[in-house]
This record gives sequence, C-alpha cells and structure tokens, in this order.
Amino acid sequence: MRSGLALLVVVLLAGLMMAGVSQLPPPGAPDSAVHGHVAATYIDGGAEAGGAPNLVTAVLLNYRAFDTYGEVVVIFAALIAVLAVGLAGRPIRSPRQAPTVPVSPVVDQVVRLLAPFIALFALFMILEGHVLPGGGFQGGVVLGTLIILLGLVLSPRRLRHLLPHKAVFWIRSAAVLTFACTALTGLALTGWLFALPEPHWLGESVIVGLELAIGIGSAFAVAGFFLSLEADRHR
Amino acid sequence: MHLLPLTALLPITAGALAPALFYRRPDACWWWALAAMLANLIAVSILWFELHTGTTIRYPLGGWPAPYGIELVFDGVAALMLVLAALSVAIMIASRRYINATIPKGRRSLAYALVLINLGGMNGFVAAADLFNLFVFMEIFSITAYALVALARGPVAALAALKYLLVGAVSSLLVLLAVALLYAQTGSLNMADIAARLAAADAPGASALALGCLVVGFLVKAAIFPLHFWLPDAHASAPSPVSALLSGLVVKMGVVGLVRTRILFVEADVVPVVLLDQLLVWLGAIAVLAGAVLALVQRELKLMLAYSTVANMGYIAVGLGLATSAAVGGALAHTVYHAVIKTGLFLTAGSILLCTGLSRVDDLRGLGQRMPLTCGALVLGLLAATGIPTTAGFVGKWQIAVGALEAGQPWVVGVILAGSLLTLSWAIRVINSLFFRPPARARVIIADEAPASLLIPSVVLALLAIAGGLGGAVLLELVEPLTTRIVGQPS
Amino acid sequence: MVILFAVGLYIVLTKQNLLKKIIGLNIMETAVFGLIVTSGMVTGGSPPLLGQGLEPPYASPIAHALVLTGIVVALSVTALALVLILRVQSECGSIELDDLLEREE
Repeated sequence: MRSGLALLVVVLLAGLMMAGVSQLPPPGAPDSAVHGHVAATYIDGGAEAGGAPNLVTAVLLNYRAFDTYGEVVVIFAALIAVLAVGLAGRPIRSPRQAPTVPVSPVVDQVVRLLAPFIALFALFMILEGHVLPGGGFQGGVVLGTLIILLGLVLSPRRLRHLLPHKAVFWIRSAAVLTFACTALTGLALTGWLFALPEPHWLGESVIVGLELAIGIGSAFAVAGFFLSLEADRHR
Repeated sequence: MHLLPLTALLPITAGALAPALFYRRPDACWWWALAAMLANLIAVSILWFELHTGTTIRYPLGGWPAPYGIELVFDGVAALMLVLAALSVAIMIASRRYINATIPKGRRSLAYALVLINLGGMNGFVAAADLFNLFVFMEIFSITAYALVALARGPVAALAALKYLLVGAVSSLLVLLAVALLYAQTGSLNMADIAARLAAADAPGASALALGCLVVGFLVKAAIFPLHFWLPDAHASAPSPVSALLSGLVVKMGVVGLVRTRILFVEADVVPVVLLDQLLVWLGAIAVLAGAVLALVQRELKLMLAYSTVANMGYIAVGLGLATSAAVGGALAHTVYHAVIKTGLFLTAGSILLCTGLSRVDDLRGLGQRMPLTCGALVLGLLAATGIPTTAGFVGKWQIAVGALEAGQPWVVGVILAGSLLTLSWAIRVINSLFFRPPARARVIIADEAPASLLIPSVVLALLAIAGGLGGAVLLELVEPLTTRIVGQPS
Repeated sequence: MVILFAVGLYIVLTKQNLLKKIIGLNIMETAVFGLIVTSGMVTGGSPPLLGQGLEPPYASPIAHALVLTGIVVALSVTALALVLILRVQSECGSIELDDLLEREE
C-alpha cells in the first residue's frame, strides 16, 4: 500500500521532470547556450587567462576558486563531523579485543609491491593536473585509497603510530588553510581575494601548490572516513 | 569591501585551525571560537554601515567580474548576516558550560570547529550571488548542522540526525538539479545573469521545473508544513545551544533561499510566480495551525519550542506568499525577530535542562521560585512568541495581517489570530506550571539559579524579544528596499 | 537520467533499510551529475585541454568542474550518513526503520 502510493508519486514526479528536461537544448549541440556564454569566454581566454592549460583546473582553481574552497571546506567539515559523532573513543563494549582476520600473504605482498607505484601515480595526477586530466581531488582519492590499503595490511593501529597525533590534525586541515593562504596572497599581490598572482609562472606554481594541498587534504579525509568507520565497527 | 568574503573565510579558517591548535586544550578553544565570532561580528557591522552609507556592496572573487567569476553581494538579504553574527556570539557564550558538561574532552574542539564552519557556511550562503556557490555553501552549513544534531548522546539524537541528513540531502539534490536545469538553458550561473537570459532560452517548462525544485528544496530547509517532519526531533534532541543555532538561524536559510529564488524568477519573468504565492499562503496557513496545535499537545519543553518554530516558519511563508509590500515586510521582520526570540528561548530551556536535568513541563513545576531569573526570561520569550502587542513577535504578525487585508484574503487574519491564541494557551500552561504549582520533583527544590554565562545571554535576548516591538518601525524601514525587490513590479 | 532519478527517489521513499536509503540517495545524485555532464558535452568535441594538439570544439569545462564539486559533496554526505547509521545500529540494535519506529512506541 505504502510502496504503491510512493510509486504513484514517483511516476507523477518523473512525468513532470521528463516534461521539463525534454525542453532543454539537446545534448551535444555545439551552439547551445552552455557553450556560448561563459564557457566560450573561458576557452577563448585559453591557458594564458585561465592560468592552466587544463581548463577544468582553470575553472576550479581560478575562475571559480571560491566554489572549490567551499568544496574543500565541505570535505573537511565532513571529516570533523565523522570524528565528532562517531563511536570512536567510547569504551569498547566487549571486554575482549575484536577478532582480527589475518591478512592473506598474497594480499599483503601485492599491496606492498604496488604501494610505491600507486603513490607515484597519485602524485603524477596531482602535480600534472593543471596540464593533463587529473587534479587534486582525483589524485587525492587515489592516495587515500592507498592509505586505506596500507591500513588493511598493516592494521590501522600501526598506521596511526606512523604520524604523531598532533600532526594529523594539521595535515587534515592543510587544504583549507593553504586555500586561505593563497586567497590572502592573491589579495596582497593583485588586490582581489582568491586571485592568482601575476606573473604567469607564479600563478602556475600557486596552482600546483593548491593541487598538492587539496590532494593531501582529500587523501587524509578519505582515509579518515574509512579508518573511523573501521574503528567504529569494532565497538 | 574585502571584508565581505572574509565573513565566510574568517570563521571557517578559525574552525579549521581549532582542532589542530586546541585538540588537547578545549577550554582555550572556547576563547578562540568566541574571538573568531566577535571578529566576525565586527566585520559584519562594518559592512552593515557601508551598506547604509552607500550602495549595495559587490565583490567579484579573484577579480573576475560576474558572470565569469563568482560574485558575493551584500544587499538587504545578506544584511541578515548581522543577526547571524550577533546571535551566534550569544550562543557561543552560553554553549561553554553545556559543551563542558556533555561532550567528552577530546571532542570539544571538534564541536567548536563545527559551529564555526556552520557560521561561515551561513555567511557565505546569504551573500552568494552565484547559484552554484549558493549550493556549495548550503552544503557546508547543512553538513555541519547534521553533525551538530548528532553531537547529543542517545539513540534519538542519532536517528533524528540521520533523518535530518536524508531529507536535507534530497532537498540539496533538488537545488542542484535546478542549478543544472538553469545552467543548461542559459550557460551562466550568476543569478542576475540567469534572470536576464532565461527568457531568451524559451523553455518555460524547464524553467518551471527548476523553480519547483528550488522551492521544494528550500521549503524543506525552512521546514514549511508538509516538509517539516524532520524538524521537531532534530531540534529537540540536539544539544540545547545547537537547538538555538538550528531553530534560530539555520532554518532561516531556507527563507533566504526562497527570497533569492523569488527575486530571480520575478526578474526573469518567464514563469508566473502567482501559483507559488498561493502555495506558500496555503502551506503557511496550515503550518501555523498545525504547528501550534502540535506544540499544545507536547509534554517536553524543547519539543514545544520546536513545533513553535514550525508554526512561526508558517507565518513567514504566509507573509512571503501574500506578496504585498506590508506582508513581505512583515515576513522579513518576523524572520529577524523570530531568530532572536527562538534563540533566546532555546538557550533558556537549555540552561533549565542543564541545571535541573528535567525537560518535561510537568516535572518543572514550581521552578519559578528556585530560578526566578531564568524562568522569567523564559516567560518573557514565550510572551514575545505569542505576539502580544509591543513584543517582537507582534510586529511581523501585525504586518502580515495588514498585508492579508490588502491582498483581499481576510481569512488569513483569522488563521494568524487562531495561531496566536493557541500559542498563548500552551505558553500559559508552561507559565502556570513554572510559577503557580508546588514543586513535584526533588531536583527542582534543590535547583539553583543558573550561572552567569548561561543567564546573561538568556536575559539579554528575552529583554530584546520583549522590547523588540518598539523598534519595529525601524526594522520595517530597513527591510523596505528589499521588500520592493521581492514583490517586483505588479504585472 | 529522469528514470535514474525516479528509481533513486523510489528507493529513498520506500525502503526501510537505512543503508538502502543511502544507496538510493547516491543513485539520485548520479542522475543529476549525469544531467550536468551531458549538458556540457559537444558531439565530436574534445576534452578542454589546451596545448595537447586537440581540436575545437571543446566540451564545456564548467560542467566538469561543477560535477567534480558535486561528487565531493556527495562523498562527504555519504560518509557522514554511514557513520550515523553505525551509531544507530550500535545504540538501537537495528537499521530497519520499521523496527526502530516500533521500538519508539
């Protein structure tokens, strides 16, 4: 009964949406509004105005840098939220340790073998993100996955001992803080917050720095989500 | 001028630094958070004075002029930031004891970080002139709000936070869908630019769909009647300062969203907004009655206050929907005053809860003798909420009623009156129980007056709520330029 | 896209398992991202990478940037939702909504 009603509502809404969406310009037409107005200006401006040959990066870190700042803040806020509301830090319910499944030696060896390559690939994606496809977030997620893999193989506890507790919080907030710093640098050098400084090489190095900070920030956020979930599961 | 983006940057950066700097010293973190909020208040005050000496402040971020870059704008809508800044300072002062009492030491700095980021998100949201930027900052304050609800212990809080998250995420998604639809039609994301180019796209169906998505999305955020179901649990089970933050400030963001949407579509003039207005009036009227009735049957003080928020958001919706200048002015005034009243009420209820550990109204009998100042503040706040003349609640309701008569819908006046009477009846029940009944619980008899850090914000806000009606004319004058923009040209 | 969105909404509305609701939410998100990306594409276009010997017309870079931001936001919300589900599970002993509602009464 309830699901039938929901089905009816959903079909009705879908019909309304179909009617609306069908009026949009057909996808793929090169002369639609999406390509004409703002996007055309960006493409005409090219790498010179955008600060990076990869225009997606130019949009993310130059034209619409404030959005990306917001995005970095969202992921940081989510990490803080996960840490604040999760169960970690509460007394363990059962007196004995949660059972640990031994890692198969095959998995162990393969992960150890692959780890440097994955790290290299992630760094490549982060550092070359302003020229080629890739970028801070994508590379950061790859790096974060690597940390998760290592956490599975080495056990989260050992991973935690690799870094002092205090440093972890600094690294987690790295992306947000770096963004704030570059925003202020932009203000000092060009007169506008979030502007890329002139000359071109300086702007480009700022972009690379930002990508690196975003990459590290999102890697630690992704890893943080997982490790906190993993820790919660045993409580 | 550079202060405008700083209003978002400053609290967020302070929030990002908080766990790193103060992880082991949460007591110092409170000072840090308070300092950040005071700095924010100063920045916003300076902006406010600039707004009233000159024209609207526009800030193109990165020096890219709109529509090529993101623009922030400090106009009448964004002036709400001043209310946000001032009330958040009051909340921060009161929250210290609460956080120390309820949150384990290692997590207090995280809680302060969440509050700061939440404030920064709201600042960015009200100042956003770019549709996608609006979405991003909406997510910032939403995600921190979900987490803040879940800071409270116990199964109810976790479930309420999850419910809030699910509903909130769907509504955010609808807003994103609307962004996609408008972007596909115009190739632009700046709201003024979209409004100018929407007519050329010649797709009224898609525009109407975008309007519908935006409205439903923001109705959820504003907790207007049929989409209010997440609110009472979330607001009542959250830690009390968080309830004050959510009920006083965060739900108002939905109103800001509705106002921005309305301005966009009035300027674009492709879809008639009359239907939207009628919808708002009806839903608002139902919300006023339903919220008041549901508040009447509750037993817990905080749940009563939460349902009263539903009713008050109904008043605001009615005022916006009537779309005459008096009613819209009333709705805006009520947005500000309800923020003051409800923040004060939740803070006061929180300090009662903290000092006695009791939350049911029946258990609080006779508390007026033991905590006269706190209970007095609660009474003043409740009287203001009912809208007795010269209190803050009166201005908005009166203006909305006048607007209803202007718009030729006299039945709305009856609804407003009925809502006020219902509110009065549950307020009297609370007052009666606090002052005119013998104590029923031992904890009431041994209760002491709340400490100064809890008492001062409650009393100040209660006095503001009572005296606010006297400043009503000034406030209405302040919102007037915005009112004309929302109403638009009669067509 | 509309169908995908509708499927997601149906799941969110009807499934009693909280985890399935989150999955439904993610399906809806995917639908919206798909809509944005398709609106930014050009038939026969190339990715907006300058200086790589690619020919215009280029696909709209803005759409890609928007989706990237959207995905990150969706990821964050999902992570928080999962943690909350774990907390509900450990405090109420169930993540089936009807179970939870029954217990409340």
